[in-house]
Amino acid sequence: MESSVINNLLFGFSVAMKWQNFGMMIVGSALGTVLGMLPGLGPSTGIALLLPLTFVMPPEMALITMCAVYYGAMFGGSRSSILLNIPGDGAAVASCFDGYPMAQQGRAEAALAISAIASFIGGLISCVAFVAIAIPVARFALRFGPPEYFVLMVFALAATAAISKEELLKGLISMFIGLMLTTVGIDLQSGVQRFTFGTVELQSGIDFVVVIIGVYGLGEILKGYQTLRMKGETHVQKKFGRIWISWDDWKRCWLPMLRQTPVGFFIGVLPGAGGTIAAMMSYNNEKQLSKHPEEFGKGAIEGLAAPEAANNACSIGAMIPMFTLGVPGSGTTAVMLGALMIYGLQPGPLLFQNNPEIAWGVIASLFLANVICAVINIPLAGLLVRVLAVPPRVLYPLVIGMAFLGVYTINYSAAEFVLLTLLGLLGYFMKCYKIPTAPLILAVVVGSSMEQTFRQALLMSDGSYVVFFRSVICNVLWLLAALSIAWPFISDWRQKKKRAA
Amino acid sequence: MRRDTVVGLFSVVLGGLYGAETLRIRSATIGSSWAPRVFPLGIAVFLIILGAAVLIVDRKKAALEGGKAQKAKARDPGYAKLIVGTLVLCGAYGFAFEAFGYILSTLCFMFLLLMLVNEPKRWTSNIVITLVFTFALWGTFVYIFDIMLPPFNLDAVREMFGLGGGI
Repeated sequence: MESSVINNLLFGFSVAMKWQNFGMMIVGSALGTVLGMLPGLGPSTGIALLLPLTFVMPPEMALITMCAVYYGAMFGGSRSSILLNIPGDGAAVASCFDGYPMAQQGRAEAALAISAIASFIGGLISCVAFVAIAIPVARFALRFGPPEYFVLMVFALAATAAISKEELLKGLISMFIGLMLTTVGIDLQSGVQRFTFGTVELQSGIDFVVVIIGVYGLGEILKGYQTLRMKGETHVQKKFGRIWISWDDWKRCWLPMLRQTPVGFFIGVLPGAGGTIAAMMSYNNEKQLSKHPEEFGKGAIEGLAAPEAANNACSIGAMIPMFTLGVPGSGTTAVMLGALMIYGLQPGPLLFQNNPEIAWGVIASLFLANVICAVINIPLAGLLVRVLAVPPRVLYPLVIGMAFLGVYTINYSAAEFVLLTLLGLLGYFMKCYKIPTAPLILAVVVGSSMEQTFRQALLMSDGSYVVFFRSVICNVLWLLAALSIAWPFISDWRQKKKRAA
Repeated sequence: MRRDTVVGLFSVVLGGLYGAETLRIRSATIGSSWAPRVFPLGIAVFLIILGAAVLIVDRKKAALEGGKAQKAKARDPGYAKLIVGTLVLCGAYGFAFEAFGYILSTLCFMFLLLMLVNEPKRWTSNIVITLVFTFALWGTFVYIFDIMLPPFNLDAVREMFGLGGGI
């Protein structure tokens, strides 16, 4: 690692260790853990709901808090998987497979401990990898002009929309609805009003925070209503012995954690493929590599350790395209990218040059948040899991109330409450009809810059579309975009061929 | 109607309406007159094409499944009431927030929402949660975040009920 990188990292630590920032990191990690635990409120919803509250903070503190919430949510997601067999978020699905059977067998303490240890190890290794590759990627991104940025955004959106063959078309529809929402308001280049229907409130466009809170927050709750009274009361184990693992457990887990961390990290860097894919893939990998595959699904501790390490590694990896290229790779990083934009910061390669206190402060905070989350999630696990006993019938109204207040703080106007309600309805419709919401969120965040770069590129070339194929970078990105759309079909074809053989 | 048929139709109709509205956008006076319409028009075309593709794929699937009905997930029988009630309360909260002020509107909103979702039989806990939530958030916003929340506004209330402004 270059000495300048180490110096920058040390500078980052000096920023992150300021007592105000460190204090918010602790608050964010605890809040994130709690939000991650609660089924239906994943990191994206959690950050979206808390985002307006960070408007009063300096940018580096706000970003550090949001990263801590994200990180805490990744740690906390597995708590409800282990104790209730209900994942706190998608990335914690794989933790149900062996975590819940372990709890059923009276090994909840070991399950809670190993999930936090694996998250810590996966996160720590990934933080080091992040520091090592962030600067080279950012330097490379300096070669990007408007056409390259436009194609990069096309690739990021296509990869997010094309997660599976079944959801490809609906993912693309979701993406175009998101882009559609970004075209509302006064056009930045010509000053022409678009889709405002004579409403003054719509002239400045639809704020992406309203879309995120509406679609993720309100939409999720309306969907949750469908099964609200069927769930009954939740009974959570509240008394635990010592939350730790035995030496035998450690011997079974260390290697799976180490070998699945790079898998999770790499998946995180790729746009679109999020924590759920990282966790599932690492679980399947480990099952194939294990000497006792028959124990998987019946409480194999390595079946819990591997996906936990991978999903935390993934969450760190997902921040690389956001910080270095200014393009989000997941719904959560899209929310964080939007936050950077709200503070008037230009995410991307120049962030490291123009705002080193933010870029390096946030990177250093990831190391510290990793330690804080481990402390919160191991000794305090018994205390925190009590949150799981809060019934959704109480939780949902509280979240709705928070969502509305959050939206009010964006413009200090209640005019957007109606918009929030309509977007909540849109989110509910999308969830009911199995239209993925992540592509919409990504499109809402990058849509405006996508259109601007598209038009800047056309201005550069006097209207010739050939400009989008002007460089090797553009062509490689087009190829990757095409490949990401074709990949679900290729993968399906390969599986069919395998089965036939 | 099958789930994907609804999605396909929704996308085609949305794309059509959005495309029609795109054509009504004023021409730009600077640069290319069509510039503000190009990007939205592309979105509209893609929405229609993708919607049509969903409909075609769904028809094929339906033919393969031989008209078997899709399995419906078990749902709480009263969920529609909860959804409609919440949406109505959210809309009303939007109108009441600035006129009646944060405290009064939030007390009413939260209490009614809790009575709807947490059921009327738990009215005592609903009152306690409403009071704690409303005043805890008010304190957090006003004293910690230094954000002013709207106070009761008599003029706005009069305007809302068509009684004219000012005394």
